Amino acid sequence: MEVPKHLMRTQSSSPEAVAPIETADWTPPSWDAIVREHADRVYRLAYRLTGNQHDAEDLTQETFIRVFRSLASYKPGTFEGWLHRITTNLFLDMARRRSRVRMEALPEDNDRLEGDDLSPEEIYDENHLDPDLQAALDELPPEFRAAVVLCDVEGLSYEEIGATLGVKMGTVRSRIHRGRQALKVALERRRQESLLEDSA
Amino acid sequence: MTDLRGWGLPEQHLLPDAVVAFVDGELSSTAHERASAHVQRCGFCAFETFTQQQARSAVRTASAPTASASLLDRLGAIPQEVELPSAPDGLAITEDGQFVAVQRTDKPAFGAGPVLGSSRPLGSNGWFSGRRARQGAGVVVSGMLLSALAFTTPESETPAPAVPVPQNAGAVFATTP
Repeated sequence: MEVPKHLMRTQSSSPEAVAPIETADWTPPSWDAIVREHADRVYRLAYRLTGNQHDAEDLTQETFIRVFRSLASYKPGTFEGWLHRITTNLFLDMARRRSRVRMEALPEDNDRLEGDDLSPEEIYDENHLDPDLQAALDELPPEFRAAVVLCDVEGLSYEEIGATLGVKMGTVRSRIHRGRQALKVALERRRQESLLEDSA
Repeated sequence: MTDLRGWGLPEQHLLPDAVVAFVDGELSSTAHERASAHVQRCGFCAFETFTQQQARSAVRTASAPTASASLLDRLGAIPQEVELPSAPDGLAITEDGQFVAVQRTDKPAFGAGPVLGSSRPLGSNGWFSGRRARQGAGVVVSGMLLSALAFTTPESETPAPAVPVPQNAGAVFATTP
């Protein structure tokens, strides 16, 4: 990692958060440096995948917990790819679990499980962050959403997306293609709906 | 895919795979030139390409959310809040090497959910349905530990299948006394 260890975050609610992790053959950057460098990227990916701040924060935190636990076995050089893989696969696990739960038990509750009440700040955030785009993304099946987000939010190549999702190149292409098509349709429909509302 | 209407020659449209790869610049230069020439004289493929480009730019130009200060604080505190995989969730090792259950109640600000020591056992996998204190989605698969976990939370729900085993699960046993 290229971040000098002395450039640690100066303010933190827990001052003892700076806990350098030493290993014999590789010295990782300080935890604060890792968080500072990668938190926004992971959060952005998590937000576009999950569609709301609450789940995005949970997903981001879970990703960093995995990173922290696995730092000792991490091989330098693929940190971003590693983060993409962890975040995306945690998201897909979550999405599959939710769809299973929904099919088995819950009534129409596509967005959140109980206990996920949003604070006013979160509602504000959700309403001011391209709500139509995010809602259109949320309509995509998780596998398609992940491919589109990795391509168009993260800017990954098809090869990198294939490695992240563990699928073949043809699958990457067709997921992005169909995902974008569905996205366009959803965006168009939402635009029409808002036009109708405005004229009503 | 062959469509003779309106064309002097039999013309194949670009396959969806080619359209998307064309838009993303993922074709070889030869294939890209051929696709580009085709799109210029084929309304159908031009429309397909346009659709892909529109969706692509809608996502690419969207403003990027950033992590909140409170999230950054929580991430920064992970080294204090999370046990390294020397012991699974809810367990600690005493000086004489016995696994014991832990009840950590000293960090109420970390999350609104249950305290760390009371997280659900391996396999229950509820980290996304609750609040953020759900620290441990599976650390170690071991009969001994599973039974110990079952003992600490006997009222837990039925475990879900397919717990991913972390790469470093084996390291646990290297570090235990």
